[in-house]
Amino acid sequence: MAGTRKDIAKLNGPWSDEMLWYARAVRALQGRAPADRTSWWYLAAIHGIDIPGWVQQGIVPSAGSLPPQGEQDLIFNQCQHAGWFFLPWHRGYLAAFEAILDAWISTQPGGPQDWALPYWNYLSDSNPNGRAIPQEFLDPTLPDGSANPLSQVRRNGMQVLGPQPWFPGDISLSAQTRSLPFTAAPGTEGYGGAISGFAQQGSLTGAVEGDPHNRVHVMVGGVQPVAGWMSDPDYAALDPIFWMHHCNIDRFWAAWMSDPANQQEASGAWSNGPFPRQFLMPNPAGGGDVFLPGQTLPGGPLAPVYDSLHDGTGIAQAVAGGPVTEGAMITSRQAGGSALLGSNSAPLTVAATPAATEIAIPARAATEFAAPPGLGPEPRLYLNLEGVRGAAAAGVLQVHLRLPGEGGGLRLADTVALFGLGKASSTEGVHAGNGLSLAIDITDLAREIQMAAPGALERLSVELSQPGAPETEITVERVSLYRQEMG
Amino acid sequence: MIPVPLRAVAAHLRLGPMPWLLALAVTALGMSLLLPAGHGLVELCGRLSLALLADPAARALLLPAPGLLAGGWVLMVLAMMPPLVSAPLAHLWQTTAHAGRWAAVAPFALAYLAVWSLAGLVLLPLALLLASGPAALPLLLGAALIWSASPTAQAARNRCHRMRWLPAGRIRAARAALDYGLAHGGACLGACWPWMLVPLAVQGGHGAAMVLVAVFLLVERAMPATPALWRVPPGIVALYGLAPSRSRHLTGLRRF
Repeated sequence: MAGTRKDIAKLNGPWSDEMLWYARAVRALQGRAPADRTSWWYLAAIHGIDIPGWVQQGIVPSAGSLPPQGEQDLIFNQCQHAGWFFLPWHRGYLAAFEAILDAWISTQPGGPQDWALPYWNYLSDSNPNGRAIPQEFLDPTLPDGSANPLSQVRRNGMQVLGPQPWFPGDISLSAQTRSLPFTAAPGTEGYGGAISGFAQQGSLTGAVEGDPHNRVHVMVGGVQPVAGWMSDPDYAALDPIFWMHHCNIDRFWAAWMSDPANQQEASGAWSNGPFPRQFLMPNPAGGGDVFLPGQTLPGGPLAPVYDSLHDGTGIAQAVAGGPVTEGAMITSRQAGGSALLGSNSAPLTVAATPAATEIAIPARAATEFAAPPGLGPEPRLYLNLEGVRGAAAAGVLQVHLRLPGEGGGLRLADTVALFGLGKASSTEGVHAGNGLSLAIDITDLAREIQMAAPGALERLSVELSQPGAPETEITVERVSLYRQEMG
Repeated sequence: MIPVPLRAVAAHLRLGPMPWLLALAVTALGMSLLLPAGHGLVELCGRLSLALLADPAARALLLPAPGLLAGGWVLMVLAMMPPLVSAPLAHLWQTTAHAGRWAAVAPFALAYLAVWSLAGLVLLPLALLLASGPAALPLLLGAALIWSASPTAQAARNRCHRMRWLPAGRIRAARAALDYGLAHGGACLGACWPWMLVPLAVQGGHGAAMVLVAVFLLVERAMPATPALWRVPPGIVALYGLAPSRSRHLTGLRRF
């Protein structure tokens, strides 16, 4: 049984015992055959695998070294993104990974019996250097002089999270601190994403998945000249920092659930997971276990324990004390509905030059949004990018709204990290080529536009651009506007 | 205690338009079973040959009115296919403005139905000729399973997962919905066509055969997209997941 998960920065590092054992265990797992269900390669392929690419890069010796096709169909390429299973699936994945590492570590001479995955607390309140990639993932060697398996990765030299010329945006705790339902109504934001079946790329990215999850992936991996491993779901879990990143994302969820103001989804369709394909993980004995999202909730067998749910999570501490387990669990509640107000009329192509479009919405909808009737919560407005596709493994898009008037300038609505862009756009693999879809909350900006020039919302001008010097095109099938009905 | 997979299935069958589509399928199934005795598709299957069809007198004696034949085929399609379009219908409904929802859903549904109806011009004569004798059922079932296992069928199933977002403007949106329905119908036809011949080879219990095939096609549709390779038919893998865990080793499909 794994112990308490702790902040890497609060261990006695660099190269604390926990991180040294992590590095040794990674090396041990990398020494196992790709078809071994407890090998590093097998565990990474559960997230995603591009077999020709893995062979070409020498990650595995050949396609024949992998398990049989029937087994691959059951367990590889499982990662859940852009849907309401994103958080529970990754929690079960972390638990299986941790159990396999713990099984090896605890049987080594001097190995701790309570080893647990540390987390990378990049938005720590107490550590001003939290955004820097921990030293253990950069050093070329371990303290004993042997090669460091934690740094033998493709990262394009990225060392610190934060704005870059090719990503003029930052990571934040915005998902943690806003009032959001867990499940998104169509075209809106939810903490955990929209309703989905088994979907490596579902219909709508959740708030915590968009920021900081996707941003950290793309910032660590980089996108040029070739996307780093962390930027591509088919390679991401090969980078040992993936697991520390996801451990922190999982802690965000644990913290969010500990806040009594939040409502965790617990409907039957969510708790029982998808079907026919289910979530399947290997165990340390080499067998496999199906797990359900409901088992990842507080009190369930897959719920982890963290040393803190407050430092760097944006969730205030209710009660001072030592190690904290997840707190109040709230029963499920369906969020209010949503409605499409309008969309543009043709797909957009964004290359080195920006692309502009207009969304027309009925005058009544614009007026009602600007001056909502009643005393209840005000409706929110979401700009949607639907069917975002591109050939590159990952990409970045800046989304601006044009202010009304002759000299109307551009106001930034968001900078979005397109983690998994290429995989989601391919019609050859597991996504059917639907691309990525995301919703951006533009409520405040839209009110500003409507106040500056009444009626301006009826023809909303949107401009999309790729920062840096992009070499590939990104297409957007539709840009649209949804209004969230507050439930 | 209901097994978890069945609970998951039950929960997903309550989502979106699925309950309405199931009701439509059940209604069409009931109507198809009420067709006049002796004029149903099943009674005809296997009683024809190319020689008989070439003889006008024999043809007039054996074949019912074309309208009845076509009606039987459309009812069969409506009894088996509606649950398969739950996902695209939900997608269209949710991503279209309130005022334009029916104007989006109707062209999609009509185009989809049109593809399957026209397919009857080929599939129906095929069934009338092939679905006869004791060997017909195992042969057609085997052919359908081989088709399901093929890369071509997997590529078609992958296209069934493709979503489209309709552009602004009523006419543009209706035209796009029509295109979407045609493309989706084409993909569905490509994935499922041999399976439509199977129930026609079952002389007793034709309705039950239609239900079983429809369930099989629904679980194949529910499996996520995957690379187009030769593989165990996804419907078999999916139904296998419903079996009690202690009996799963019997098929050897699950290696865990």
